[in-house]
Amino acid sequence: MSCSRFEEMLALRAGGDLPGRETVRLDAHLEGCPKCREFAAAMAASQAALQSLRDEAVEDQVFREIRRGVLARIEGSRQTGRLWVRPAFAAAAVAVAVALAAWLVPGPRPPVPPAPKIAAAPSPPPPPEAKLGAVAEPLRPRRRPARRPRREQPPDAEPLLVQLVTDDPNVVIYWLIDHKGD
Amino acid sequence: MEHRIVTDCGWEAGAEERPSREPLPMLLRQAKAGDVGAFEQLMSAYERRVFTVALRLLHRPEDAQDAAQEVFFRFYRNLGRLDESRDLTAWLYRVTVNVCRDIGRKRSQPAGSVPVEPVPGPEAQAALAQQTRILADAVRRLPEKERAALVLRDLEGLPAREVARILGSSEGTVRSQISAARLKIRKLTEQFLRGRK
Repeated sequence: MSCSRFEEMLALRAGGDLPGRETVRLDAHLEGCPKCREFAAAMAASQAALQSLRDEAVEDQVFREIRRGVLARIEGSRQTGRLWVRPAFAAAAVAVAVALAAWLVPGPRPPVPPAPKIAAAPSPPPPPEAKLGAVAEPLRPRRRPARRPRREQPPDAEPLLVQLVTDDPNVVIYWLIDHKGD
Repeated sequence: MEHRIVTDCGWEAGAEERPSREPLPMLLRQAKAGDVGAFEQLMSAYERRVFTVALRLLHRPEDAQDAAQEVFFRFYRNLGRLDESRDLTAWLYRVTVNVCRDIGRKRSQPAGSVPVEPVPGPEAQAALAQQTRILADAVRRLPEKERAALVLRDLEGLPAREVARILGSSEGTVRSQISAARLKIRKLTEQFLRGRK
């Protein structure tokens, strides 16, 4: 195993992270390797120096500012929530009120459309070929061909009964003819 | 009196001024019921952790502050969904990492453009402060996933198993990310120390 691999192990051991099994192997190597022993000492010094960062002092003012900032954000989020909730609540209340009113009060009848007014149609201009002095034939409304008047049946008219006699004396066919179909 | 929070997953995160574990589920219940005061107490219990992780991931305090606010706002919005029996700390870490990832991607400033300025003052104090800055800058220069793994493991003190759970990857992957990150940090620190000599 190369010394660089032992250097990695030394880096772990400097912080107490080397498993026991590997520690035995590392110690065996260190006995015969002055270069790695020197490296181990430098590693321990570096690790000790690194620990000095743990005791870094922080002023209380910093924490007060952090707390104040967080509480302001919390308050801000609550305000935003309230601003959101208020119109939503108001809209819901209005919707409920409208629905209740529609349910309780009978609705207005649909307006009856006004009867169409029949206005006199303006008379059309005379045809271009009409000459002065000539009497224009007045326009006649187009007459629909007269429908054939329907033959009215008296309400008390009885249907026509037709009796058909067959060869079999026991069978007689009666045919009732209604006037409806002419 | 020193308070410590022991999370449900068994690891202990030292927290000097934080309340003990017992009131947290109660506060969570009260916050869920709409008690903003209870929510504020929950923020107080977790703000230091959330902010420092965000600061280590993003490097700039103003970004970390924005990230912390976003994390707690998401916390508030998700109160109804959070189970009291679940590990709230792990959930918050996960959200913090995600929020920082989003902010880091949106940020237009490219990595490495924040200069490390010499710190004035007595020599030893100045050197220590400068070393801290160098380290912080080295952490910031790490690839996103390695940085998250290193911050949670080495600076937050979470076990690799828990880091893997938060980041949604395997323990083996997280171990190799941590190893790679530590090697890079060592290299950068060495360069800095060599430069001073």
